[in-house]
Amino acid sequence: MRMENQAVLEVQGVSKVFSTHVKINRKRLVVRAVDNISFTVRENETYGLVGESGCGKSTAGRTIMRILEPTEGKILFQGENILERKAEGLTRLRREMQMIFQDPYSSLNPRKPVGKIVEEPLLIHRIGGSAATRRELCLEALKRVGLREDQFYRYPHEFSGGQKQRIGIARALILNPKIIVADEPVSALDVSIQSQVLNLLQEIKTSLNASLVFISHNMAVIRHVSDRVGVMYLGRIVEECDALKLFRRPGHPYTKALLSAVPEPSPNLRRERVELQGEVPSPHSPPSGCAFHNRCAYAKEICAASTPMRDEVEPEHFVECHFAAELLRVNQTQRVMAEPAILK
Amino acid sequence: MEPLLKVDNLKTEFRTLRGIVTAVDGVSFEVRAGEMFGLVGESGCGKSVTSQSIMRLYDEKKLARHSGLALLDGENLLAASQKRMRQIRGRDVSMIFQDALSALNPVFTIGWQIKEVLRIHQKLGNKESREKAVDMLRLTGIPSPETRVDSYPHELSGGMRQRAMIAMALVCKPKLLIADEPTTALDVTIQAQIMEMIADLKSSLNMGVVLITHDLGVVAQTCSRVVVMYLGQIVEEGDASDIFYHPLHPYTKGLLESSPSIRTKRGAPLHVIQGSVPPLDKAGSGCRFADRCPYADKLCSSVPPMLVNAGATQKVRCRKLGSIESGV
Amino acid sequence: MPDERSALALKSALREQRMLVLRSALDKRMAVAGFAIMTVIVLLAVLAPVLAPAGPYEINPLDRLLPPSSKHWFGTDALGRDLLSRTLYGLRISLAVGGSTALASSALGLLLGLLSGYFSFAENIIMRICEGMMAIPPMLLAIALVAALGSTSFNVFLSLSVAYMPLVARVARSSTLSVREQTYIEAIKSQGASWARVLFGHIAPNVMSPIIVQTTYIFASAIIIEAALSFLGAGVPPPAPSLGNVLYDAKSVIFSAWWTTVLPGIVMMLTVLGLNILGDGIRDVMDPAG
Repeated sequence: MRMENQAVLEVQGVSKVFSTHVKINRKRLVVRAVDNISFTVRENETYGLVGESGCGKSTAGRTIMRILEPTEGKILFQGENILERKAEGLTRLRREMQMIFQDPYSSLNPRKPVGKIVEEPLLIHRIGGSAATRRELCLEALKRVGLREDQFYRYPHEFSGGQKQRIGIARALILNPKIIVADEPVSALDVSIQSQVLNLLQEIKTSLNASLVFISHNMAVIRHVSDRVGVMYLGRIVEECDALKLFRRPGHPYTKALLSAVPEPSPNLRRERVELQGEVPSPHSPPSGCAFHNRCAYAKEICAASTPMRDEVEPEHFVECHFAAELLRVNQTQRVMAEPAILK
Repeated sequence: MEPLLKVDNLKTEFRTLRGIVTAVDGVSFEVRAGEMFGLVGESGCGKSVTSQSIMRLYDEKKLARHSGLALLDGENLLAASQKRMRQIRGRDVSMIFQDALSALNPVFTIGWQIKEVLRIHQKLGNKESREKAVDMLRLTGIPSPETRVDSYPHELSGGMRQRAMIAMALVCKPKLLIADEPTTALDVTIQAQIMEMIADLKSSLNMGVVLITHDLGVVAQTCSRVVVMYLGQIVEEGDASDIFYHPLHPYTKGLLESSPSIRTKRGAPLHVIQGSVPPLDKAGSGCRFADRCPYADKLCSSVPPMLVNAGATQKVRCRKLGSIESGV
Repeated sequence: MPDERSALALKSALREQRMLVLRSALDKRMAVAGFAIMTVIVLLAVLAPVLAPAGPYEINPLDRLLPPSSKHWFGTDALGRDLLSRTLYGLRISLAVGGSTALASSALGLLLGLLSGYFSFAENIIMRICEGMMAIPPMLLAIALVAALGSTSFNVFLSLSVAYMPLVARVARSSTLSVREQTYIEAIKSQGASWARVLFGHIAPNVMSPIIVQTTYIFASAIIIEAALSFLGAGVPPPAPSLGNVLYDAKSVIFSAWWTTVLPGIVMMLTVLGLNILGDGIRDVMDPAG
């Protein structure tokens, strides 16, 4: 059923290279924060982008939003390459794509009352006409995220973390976007507040008929919200597939290790851990060949020599690994993060 | 067996501009040698204040007032002199923190900082203490410790810094380690490595560990006994299997059901605990969870509930226990 | 109908918010004290023509160097002019020169600081010039400029403004650098806001509070430097009664008529003190977390 949905956003071979001030042999050191990633977001779906810190998932999100200009690649929004759009068209496009940020404390201007914060997108895009209609729209947006109208003139510091994140969501939804990019929207919140915000996001997404790109380091949250998931490691999407399948039968050794490291709130459920050697290498000097080979339990000679290509090992299941097909066959028997049949 | 740490009716009050605030209100628990003990709760529940009070780290002249008992091997830490506390800290009880970057001094090498602890407590020679520092770094799993001992904190990665800080905390082989959100800032793969390392060291040094965290998963995977705190009080205490498979308090239940995990159904709306944690000074006279509790009735917000036994190993602070269990 | 009700609710919410801001400002003792002192001083200066018992230039050779009395509260100077009148009128000139210096240097400094903090190409040019200017003490710079341009009140104001501007620009620049990295700036950029909107609509309000504090300090400092310039003969030209000129005139009789220096000096000190207290108070009030 989901297969029939149209693609809204297609990211094709996008890279983002930062040049640093550090020079070695008179050459500027460059960091490929995002390295040739491709993925598609379909209508009404939630696409999860997951990975550990420094894997480039936030940079990827900002590149899609064109807060950062991609170094190369194409980004198609409803079939049109948005990188070719100039100022005028870009502004119109920005109406359709909105972002929600991680840190609710720094993502709201402390000198503006929340009414003004939520109104700002309307002003920039010259929507809403008179001040009175704009105010109506703002009040409605605030109400939709569960805030009261008498909080219209309050300043951000008077709100709790969860409420601040609601304000951020109100600001994103007021223009009825087609795509919402949420960068770690619940990572800074307490557990009991997290679930409120996750439910709200889900609700808003459904009522707007929008697609959601959900960026997070938290596998459990990603698993809960996503329809499809891309796993990032050192700037690349090393695996992408349907969420259910990914958590049952990961194809990439990194995904497998990542899943096995997630602590579950069930004392008797101690998974067989896939030990990862060492830590994520510096993105300044990524390893040759497959970027994961020096930490991978399955690595062979070929892994250091050549970079694995994005390979469709099963329908709709992409893995960047030389041995993906083999590993999948082995994994067939062991479920890694499946939903347990019965939980007492 | 006598517990290593016995905290009895600990109460910590802060003098603030708005009057006296009770941040920890009658907390009691016991930690045994070789046991990992979990102290769980959301921000503002008093879990960190509890540990800092036991370590006597607050300014007691101006800020904090303690009452109750905190017996370490029978000695009441809350009544000890500051001089005695200085001997105890780092030697008998050590702490590790969430943010290793700010817990380590940036202008000294990690070797120097580990040796500093030895200088304070053991009056060792330079060569000897360096050897000990290297050994400790090796024990915490830092590769090539002979060279790492001379690096500065900023030259290490996050996981390595955490290991270095743990090495510093454990170099005097303390009886008790208080770990305050030790892995919150780390990635899951590194978190797994660090927690495994702490568990190994706990067994080999036969030390008691108090793990303070908001992460239910980490607690479930490592702790044998667990205490859940809410607004300065213990709301539920029990073995890990009690807490995670048979939670009794509505708050514990809510926490477990509201965090996405393999227990929750994908895509379905998550369970929600209404509202948010109120400020400490706004806590009512009755049950502190009453205004967020789906089971609360009128009496709940006026009658403070007691922490009562519920089964052999479990205690819970809730008046409505009977009716919740029978599903009314 | 529901629209009207919600409009009403909004209005009361706005009123409540304003009361809240006012009340929290009134809670800050420093701010209230500084504001009170400065209100009195400014009123004294503004109402000088009404309050002063005599004209500031009225010479009365018979009443030379009279000590304070019920007729001449501050006594008289060597030319028999009423010192209270001269001090009140002097306050006017000093406040005008100091205030306009503070405003002009802050406005210009803020603009340059914002631009150089936001655009890296502007940063190198503007900041190097500012650093060059800051290498010269403001006093010397002002003397040199007045010497070159001639000593009039306007030139004193001009040279002091130029001398203080780099100070503000540096503060504004460093605040801009940190504010522009905040997520809310990124958020507004992701809406497609123009650079002018980002810089002046969103960054500037967050840079304002250290600048306003700086402004009050410059105000105070400019009054002192203006007095010093007058004392050196490079300030507001005599016989105009700036506080500096009043003190300069008292120099020769400092040992025989103490009131000629002490009383105007106290007024000047109170003014400077009041401004500094006000500055600290404003900083407390402007802290959004209050």
